[in-house]
Amino acid sequence: MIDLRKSDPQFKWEIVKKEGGEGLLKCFGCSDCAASCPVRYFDERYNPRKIIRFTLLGMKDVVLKSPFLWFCAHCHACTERCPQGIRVAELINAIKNYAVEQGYCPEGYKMQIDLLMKMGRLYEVEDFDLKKRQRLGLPPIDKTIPEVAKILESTNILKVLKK
Amino acid sequence: MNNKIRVLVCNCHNSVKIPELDLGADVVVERHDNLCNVRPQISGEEKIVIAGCSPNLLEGIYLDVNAEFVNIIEHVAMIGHPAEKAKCMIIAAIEKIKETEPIKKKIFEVKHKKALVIGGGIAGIEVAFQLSKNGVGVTLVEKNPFLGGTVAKLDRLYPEGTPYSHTLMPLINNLESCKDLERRVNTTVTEVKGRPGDYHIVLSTSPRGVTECINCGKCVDVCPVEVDDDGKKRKAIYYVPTYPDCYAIDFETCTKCGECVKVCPGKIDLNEKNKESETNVGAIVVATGLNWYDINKVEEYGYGRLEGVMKTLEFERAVASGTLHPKKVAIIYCAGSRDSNHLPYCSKICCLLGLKEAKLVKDRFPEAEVYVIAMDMRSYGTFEYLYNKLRDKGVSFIKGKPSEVFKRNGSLVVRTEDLYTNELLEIDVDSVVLSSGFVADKGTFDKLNIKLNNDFPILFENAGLGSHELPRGIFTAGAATFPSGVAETLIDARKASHSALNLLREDRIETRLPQAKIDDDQCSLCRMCIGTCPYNAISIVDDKIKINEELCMGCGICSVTCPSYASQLEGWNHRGLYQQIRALVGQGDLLAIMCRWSAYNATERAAQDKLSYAENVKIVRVPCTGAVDPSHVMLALNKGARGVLIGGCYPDACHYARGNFRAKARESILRMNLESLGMDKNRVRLEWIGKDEAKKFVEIAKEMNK
Repeated sequence: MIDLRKSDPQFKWEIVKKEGGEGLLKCFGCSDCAASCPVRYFDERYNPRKIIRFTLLGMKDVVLKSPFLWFCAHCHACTERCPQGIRVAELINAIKNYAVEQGYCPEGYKMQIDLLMKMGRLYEVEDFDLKKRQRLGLPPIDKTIPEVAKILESTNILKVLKK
Repeated sequence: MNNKIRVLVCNCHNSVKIPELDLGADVVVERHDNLCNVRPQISGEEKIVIAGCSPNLLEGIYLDVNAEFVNIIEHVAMIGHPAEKAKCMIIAAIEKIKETEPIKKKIFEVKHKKALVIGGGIAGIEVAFQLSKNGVGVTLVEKNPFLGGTVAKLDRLYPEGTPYSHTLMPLINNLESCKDLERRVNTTVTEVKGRPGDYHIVLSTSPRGVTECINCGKCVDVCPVEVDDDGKKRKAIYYVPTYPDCYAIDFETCTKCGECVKVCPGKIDLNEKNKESETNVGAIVVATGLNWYDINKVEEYGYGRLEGVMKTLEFERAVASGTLHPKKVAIIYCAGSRDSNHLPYCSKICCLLGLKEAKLVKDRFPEAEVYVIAMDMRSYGTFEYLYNKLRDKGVSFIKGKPSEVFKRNGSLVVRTEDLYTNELLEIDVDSVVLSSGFVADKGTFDKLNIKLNNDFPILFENAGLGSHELPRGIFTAGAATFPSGVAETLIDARKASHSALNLLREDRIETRLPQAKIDDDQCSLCRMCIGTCPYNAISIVDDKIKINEELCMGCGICSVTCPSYASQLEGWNHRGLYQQIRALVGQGDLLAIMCRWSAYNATERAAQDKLSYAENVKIVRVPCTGAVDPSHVMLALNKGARGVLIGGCYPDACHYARGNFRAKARESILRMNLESLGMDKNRVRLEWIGKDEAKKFVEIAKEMNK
């Protein structure tokens, strides 16, 4: 049972202020997004309708701590079909951004940022890869791209992740 | 000549070939080319059998003739049935008309070109104005001391929140210019007698207390009695800025202390008596509006038990008058509506009222949190716009029906399951608003002897019957018909006023509807017919059952209800029908008794659609399935019919309100009896067959023939 005294009535307004979150209040709960969602087809625990409705109820903890928030595959099927014209995928993005700001970032995402900072890539280029390229007649590539780290530093991401 | 029966056979431009008919000496057979265009000379007293095309067509042309119609075109010629069948049908019609009383013309006088409008809300005001504008004298009766009804109690109207006065005041001001208009406040109708065109009305006017008033308001300052009037505080002497421009005393709460009399520069009489008056009118328009459902009965929501739980109207008035500053509000929808323990129907406008209250709170206190808890949001038509707007304003909508409201640590808690998230919620609020349904003003309808369905005078709103079901001369306007918003009420009021005008503008009304007749020798005064008549046309006068000619619409339901067959319908006497069925039905035939409004048309449509059915299907036309007696059915079975099909209108489309329901009840009992007699109960069937459902008719006939 949920006691709405523990809810945060300002939560929905915080999301509405974020880019992509403008449509949140339009939701009337038809669940077309959930019915269209291919992720839900494979894992019933993911349900965009519930994420939106919990957000509207102000259940900040439930929404931000939920691992399912991060399941969205950004296929935009929900955005196409929403009868109220809510850009659902972008709304989920807005909630994700808010979650990260509040310190609810999954470890995997943090590690990806670490990799990008270190190498400028999401995967490591090793000697084995360079040898393979050589065999195929391709030019060698740099093991690290330091420019990516510079770009990341100039964005807000490190501050948000509190690094 | 007069004793002879004339049979007019229409050749329909030589397309029908009927062999020579030898029908005995007292029958004269004539052949015509097109009876629908050329009308032969017929005197009023003759008995005529017209064998031609559809009676629905010919009936209009031979309206003043005592005629029995046989459809030999659609029922025989067009579907390739043998001429023998036509002969059999003509003989059956001759047998019927021998025993049938002709349908006579009735004339009734519209004596009083005046109308009584009951209810001084927006519907009543608009009806009074429209009638008065068209030269009809009007007596407008309002039971409260002021005109305006429910709308005068509201703060604002949905969807945009326009103040109520913008709509109400122009309507009231319209009345000022009306001639021959009597506005009677503090008045109720105590007795209604008479018939359409000539009603005798007794009115009772209760004392107003204030007889001469200059609107100074000194009385209100000294009055010690404070009254809660639907959420707004007022004194026992009060004023509503509508009409009349005069203070009034609420004698239910007044202690008669006499303080107001001392300060009044006008005149206050605390000991006035009820006054009775009489009037005569030609038509009555009921515009009694709606009453809030008694929400005390929904005990789980704690109305009257928990402080802070209120009705929509109380909440609106309390917020508008500034006595309530809600911070957290829960608006509970369908409180007692769509509930088999309370009101089984949807009152249509309460969803919008709830939205209006939500908007009211958000407009006045933007920081307040509003939870709307609804099973379904029925913001019909363009009002979806209001729903969308409120979501944008941040009102929280929760889907579900709250189980209970209770107090915890001084605040109200609503417990509900939210179907959007499948979670059980407990919501702490300071005010709970119950958006309950509505019931009609039963008292007035009782006085007019009108039976209510689902608390309202209509059976199904969407079948478009509405006031069609009411006895002639009585019309309903606005929310008395069914709960409706302000705009719909005004539109309905205009329609009702024009229906009343249709009656009142004539000096005499002529009808040629069949009518029930009572044989006093056979009548045992059991009074069963009185309750069964949909039009209240039957009453007891001088220890005799009397049928009111002006009200009887000719359904024939009473003729079947009567246990001693004392009631007979003109044109469809029982004896005539027996003779017809006897002559028509042979061994192995299928008798189809068809309602003339729907199923009979379907049988004709079958020929036009080139659908064919077996030759043994014999069709009899009746005014309503409610007029089909079990003895007709049993006679047909006795004569060797393999089955009897009764075809009637769909449940919400009966022309006589409830005839088809009565037929259904009789059919199920008849089937039970057949079973107990060891017969196949499926030999008797009642089916709903629409005007154009020829295919359905043909399929059922085929099924029953197996």
